Amino acid sequence: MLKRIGFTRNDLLLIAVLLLFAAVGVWRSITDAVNSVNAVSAVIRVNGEVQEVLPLDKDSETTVTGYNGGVNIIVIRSRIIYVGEADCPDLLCVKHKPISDSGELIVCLPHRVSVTLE
Amino acid sequence: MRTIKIAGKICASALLLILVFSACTPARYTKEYYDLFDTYTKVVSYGMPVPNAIYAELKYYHDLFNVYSPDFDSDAPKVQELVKLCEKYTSDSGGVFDVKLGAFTLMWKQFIAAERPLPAEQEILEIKLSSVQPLYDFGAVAKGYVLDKLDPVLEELGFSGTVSIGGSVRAYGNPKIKRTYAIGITDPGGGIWKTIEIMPGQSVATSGNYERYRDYEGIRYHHIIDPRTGYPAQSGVNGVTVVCDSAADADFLSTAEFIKPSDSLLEIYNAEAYWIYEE
Repeated sequence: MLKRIGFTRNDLLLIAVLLLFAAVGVWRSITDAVNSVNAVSAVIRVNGEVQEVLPLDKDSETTVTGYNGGVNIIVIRSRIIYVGEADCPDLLCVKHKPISDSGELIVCLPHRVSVTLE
Repeated sequence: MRTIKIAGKICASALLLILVFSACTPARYTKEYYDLFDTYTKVVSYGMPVPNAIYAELKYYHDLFNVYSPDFDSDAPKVQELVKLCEKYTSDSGGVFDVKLGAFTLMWKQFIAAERPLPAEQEILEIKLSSVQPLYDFGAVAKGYVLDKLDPVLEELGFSGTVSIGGSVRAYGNPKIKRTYAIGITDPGGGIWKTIEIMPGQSVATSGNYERYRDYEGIRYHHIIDPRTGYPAQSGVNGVTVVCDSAADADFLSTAEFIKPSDSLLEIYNAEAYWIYEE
């Protein structure tokens, strides 16, 4: 039937390969979507430059030196992230609710520090 | 002849593969700025690095609308254009929104920063009755207004992505590069409360009392001032997010809907709102 409309064995092979790659593409976009819901790391930036990428599955306390020399201590406890201490004037980052979902962030404006869950 | 045919098929399949992969994951680039509009600015670009021209444009408007700068000129034509728009907002909202309350916002800003005692009723009254030319504060609307103003510049640059200034976000660009953008709404209690999908040409703005505030003697004093009273709004709203086309409208509406929730106001602007109330 396929032969009658001009398909050769190589054509079928090609179609099979294309379908395989398409499937890989779909699978990749699905896993991307899943990953975007479940954050895997806390990305710390100072003045927009990535300073550190911390895995969420490991508890840690990281001291970050801000743009003007100020200090923020980023704490990870059971996949929940917060700023434990800071010497900025407004302390908005310390007052900020702990974050845990992908896309959430805490910013320390005076120190130009951001912590984003990605 | 046969070789040409096979070569043609290989080219075609290679093209298809490129399409399959590029459709899934356009490269994502980000930039952050900390010196604009007294807040955090983030640019997310798809398919190309963030053009530097965006910062230059934002900085220009930052300087233009910065009422606290000694160089601020309220008579500048572009400032007057924004004032005109705000007058329309004030009239549409029945006085719930007003940018002529700079004296109040400055006073409350200082109180929230614990730089002054609690403003006395008498002091509020004096400002209300004052015949002195009122001070502007564009904090509630400048961010969205500037996001709208970026439209032609970003189109020229071929930019696809989002720009967020504080709680205001707008999506730009070619739907073929990226059709929708997911914007998370923060839950005041922690976590992402809801995710909204917007398309290029749409905007989201959030106003809330859970980031810049001071709890004092059992009352939460925050930065969203009710122009009718001169005090931080006490509407029982914790936060409100507005989705509509214009970012300036979204900014205005999120402030107005925080101070006094109103469905009819949203209808005028063809906007949607999501409220989170205090428990």
